[in-house]
Amino acid sequence: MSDNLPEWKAAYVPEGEIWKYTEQHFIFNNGTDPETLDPHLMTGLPEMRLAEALFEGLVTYDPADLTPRPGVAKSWKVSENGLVYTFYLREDAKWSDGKEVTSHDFLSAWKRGLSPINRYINLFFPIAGAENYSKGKRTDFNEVGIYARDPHTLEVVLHAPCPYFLDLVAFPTYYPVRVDLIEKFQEKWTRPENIIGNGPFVLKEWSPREQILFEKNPYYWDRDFVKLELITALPISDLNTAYKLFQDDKLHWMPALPVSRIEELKRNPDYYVYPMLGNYFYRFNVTKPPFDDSRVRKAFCLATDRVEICKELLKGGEQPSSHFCPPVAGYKPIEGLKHDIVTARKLLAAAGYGKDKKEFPKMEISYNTSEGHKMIAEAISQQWKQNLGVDVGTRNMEWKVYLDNQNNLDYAISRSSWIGDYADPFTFFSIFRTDDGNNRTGWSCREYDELLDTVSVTLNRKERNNLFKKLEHLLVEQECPVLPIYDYVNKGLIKESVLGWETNIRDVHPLKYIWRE
Amino acid sequence: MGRYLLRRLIFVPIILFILITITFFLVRMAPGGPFSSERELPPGVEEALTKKYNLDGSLSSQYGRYLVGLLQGDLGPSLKQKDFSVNEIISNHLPPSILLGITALLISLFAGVVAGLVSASKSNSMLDYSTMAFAVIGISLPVFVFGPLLQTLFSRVFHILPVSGYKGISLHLILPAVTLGLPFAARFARLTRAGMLEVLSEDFITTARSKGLTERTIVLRHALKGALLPVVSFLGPAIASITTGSLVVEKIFNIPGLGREFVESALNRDYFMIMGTVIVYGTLIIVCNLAVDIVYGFLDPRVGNEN
Repeated sequence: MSDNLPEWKAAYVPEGEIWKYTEQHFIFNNGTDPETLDPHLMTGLPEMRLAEALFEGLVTYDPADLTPRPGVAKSWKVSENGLVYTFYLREDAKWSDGKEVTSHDFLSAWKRGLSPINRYINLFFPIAGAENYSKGKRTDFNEVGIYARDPHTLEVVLHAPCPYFLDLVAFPTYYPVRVDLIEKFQEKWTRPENIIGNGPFVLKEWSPREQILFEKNPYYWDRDFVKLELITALPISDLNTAYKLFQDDKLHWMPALPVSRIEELKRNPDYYVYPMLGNYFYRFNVTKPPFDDSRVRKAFCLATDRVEICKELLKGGEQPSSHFCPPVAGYKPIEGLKHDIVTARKLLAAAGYGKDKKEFPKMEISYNTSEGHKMIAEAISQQWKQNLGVDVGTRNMEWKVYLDNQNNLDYAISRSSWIGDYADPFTFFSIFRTDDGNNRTGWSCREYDELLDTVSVTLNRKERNNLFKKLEHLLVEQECPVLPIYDYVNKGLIKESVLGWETNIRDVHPLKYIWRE
Repeated sequence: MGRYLLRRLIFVPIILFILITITFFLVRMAPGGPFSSERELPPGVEEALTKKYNLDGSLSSQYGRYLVGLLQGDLGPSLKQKDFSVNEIISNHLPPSILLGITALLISLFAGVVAGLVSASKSNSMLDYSTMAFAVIGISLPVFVFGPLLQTLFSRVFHILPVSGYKGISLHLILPAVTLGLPFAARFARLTRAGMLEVLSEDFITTARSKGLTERTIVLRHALKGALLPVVSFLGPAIASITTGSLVVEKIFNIPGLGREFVESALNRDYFMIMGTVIVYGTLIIVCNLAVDIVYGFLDPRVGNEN
C-alpha cells in the first residue's frame, strides 16, 4: 500500500506489522468536556480536536508542517489570479452511513456556516459575496461564490486573493455537515445515536464529563491507512490527577501540564515543548491619560524585562518577545523594543513625569483571576517601580467582568493573549485595525489600516512579509498600543509508544496518523 | 403535627417562587453576558444568539416566558453546553452526585457519631483529645489537599484504588466519598460529643446512674436519642449540600456530578443553567429541612406541638 503513497504520507506508515501487536487504543486528556460537537458552533481547541476525528474538510493539515494535504478533495487547482479554487472531490469519500460525500454537501454545510450562529463566520468572508449574504444584505445564496459544478467538483470564487485560503478550508468551520440530520434532530444531532460524519472515526459514546469514545469509521475512504481502533478523550480538568493517570499508563497524551510541577515534569523523557502560534501581551488603553501618550507606552515597554519573566517565573520554555506576531509562514519578526531602562526613563521624563515634574498617576494592571496572571502582573509592576519609579497596582477580576471592562475600555493596562486562527501573520495584525472588535485599546492609525488593506491583496510571500514588518514596526516600536511579553509554547507529555504525533505551531495533531507501538 | 406539616408544605412553593424570582433578576444584573468572549463576536451573531435562546425582549417578558416553561417542566437550554438542555444536564449529573453524596454521608455519619460517642463517654481523656484533634483537622484540612493525598497514597503507592473516574457503585467511589465526607464526619463527631455531654449532665441521667444502670445502657438507651438532636438538625442542610456535589472533589476525581455546574454556570453566565442548579439545590434544602423537622418531631415531642 505504501508504494502508492506520496512521500510525506508514507512516512506515517508503520514498518511491517509491528502495530498489530499493540492494542490500537489511544487515550488522551482533552482537559474539559466539549461545549459542542457541531463544527459551526465550536470555538475552542478541545472541541476542534474532537471534530477533526469526526469530520474531514476538502483539505487537511499536514501533521508536521500544516501544509494543505488532500482530504475529501483529492486535488485542487488555483487560477492564476488566485481568485478561483476548483476542488476535485474523491469518488470514494463517504459519510459514516455509507452515503456519498458530494459537492452539494459542502454547499449546504457552508450555507449553514454563513448563518449568524457561527462565531467563526468571518473565516468565510474571503469568498465572494459571503459577507454580504451573511449580513443579510443579499438574500440569494447563488450570489455567493460557491458553485457545485458536478457532484465531484466544487468551485470557490474569492473576492480578493487570499494566500491562506487553503488553510481556512482545512479549519472546522469549513467541514461538511449533514444538514438533513440537523434539521431532523435539532441540537440533538451531535449525539452518538444521531451523528453522521465523514472523518476517520465515528462517535461511539459521549458521557458528559466522563469520557468520549471514538471508533474507526468503516466507511472512511482512507480506512486502510488508519491504525487506531479506539480513541478515548477524557475531560479531566485537574491536571495533577491527569498526571497520576499518565504515570500509571492510563493516559498516553496530556496537552496541558500542572504548572506548579513544571520543574519536575521537564525531567520526564515524555516531556515536549515547542513554539506555538500565540502570544501573551498587555493592552494599553490609549484613550485616557497617561497612556494616550505614545512616549509613556514606549517607556513602559522598554522598562519591562521579559527575559526575567520567562526565565525566573514561567520556566516552561516560553520565548520572551518584543514582537506581536510570532514567527510563522516565513515571517521573521523585527526586534521590537528591548529592555532599555535609560531610554525608558528619558521618554517618561519627556512626557512630563518624574522628579520635579508631574507625579505619575496611580494605575492598575487588570487581569482575569488566575495564579499565573497574578504572578506576572506583580513581577512587571515591580519592574516598573524599580526601573521607572512608578506605582502600578494589580487588580484581578472574574472572567466575564474582565472581558466587559476590556471591551468597554474601562481599564488602564489589561492582560491579553491572542491565538492565531491560520498560519499567516494577518491573523495577528488584523485585530488592531481601527474599530476592529478585537482591537480593545482605542488605538487607531490610518497608516496601519492602509497597510492592512495593501497586505490583504498582496499574494507575493516576500512582499507580504515586508508589509507585515512595517505593521509590526508601527505596532510595537512606534505606537505601542500593546506591550508584548512572550510567545506561547505548547508543552505536554506524550508516551514514547505513540507514533505519528508531530509537533507544530497550531497544536493540531490529526488523529488519523497516530498509532501505538 | 398534621396541621403543622400542612402549613409547612404550603410554604414550599412560595419559598421556591421567591428564590426563582430573586435569582432570575440577580444573575441578569451581573456584568458581562453569556456570549462575551476573548474574541469579539462577528456582527449579527450576538443578535442571532440572543434571539435563538429567547433572550430578547424586556426582562419581565423573559421572566414570564421562563416561568411558563418552568411550569411545563422545561428548564431551558444551556448557553454554554450547546448540545444539551438544562433538563438533560441535571438528569445526567445529579445521579452521580446523589450516589457519591449518600455514600459520603453514610461514611461520615457512621464515623462521626461513633467518634463523638467514644469521645463523650471518655471525656477529657487522651482518647477524647486525640479524637477531637482529628476532628479539628478534618474540618480545617482543605479538600484539595486531602483528596490528592488519598490518591497518592492509595493509588500511586499501594495501588489498591483507582485514581479517578466514575463507574457507578464501584471501588471508584471510595476515595471521593471519603474526601467529601471527611469535613462532615468531623462536624458530626463534634456535634455528637457536645450533645452527649449535655445530655449526660442532666438529672434523668443521674437518676439512671443512681439506679445502677451500666454506662453502656445509659448512653445507648437513654442519652443517645437526645444527644443526636443537634446531629439531626445539621443533617438537613448536610444532605442537601453533600448530594448536590462539590466542585473540588469532582474535579480531583473526575466525577461527572452537578457540583461543577453550580460554579461554572455562574462564571459562564449560563443563565438557564444557573436557574436550574438553584432550583435543584433550593428544592433539596427545603425538602431536607422539612424531613428533618418531621424526624425532630418524633425525637422531641415539643416540636410542632404548640397547640
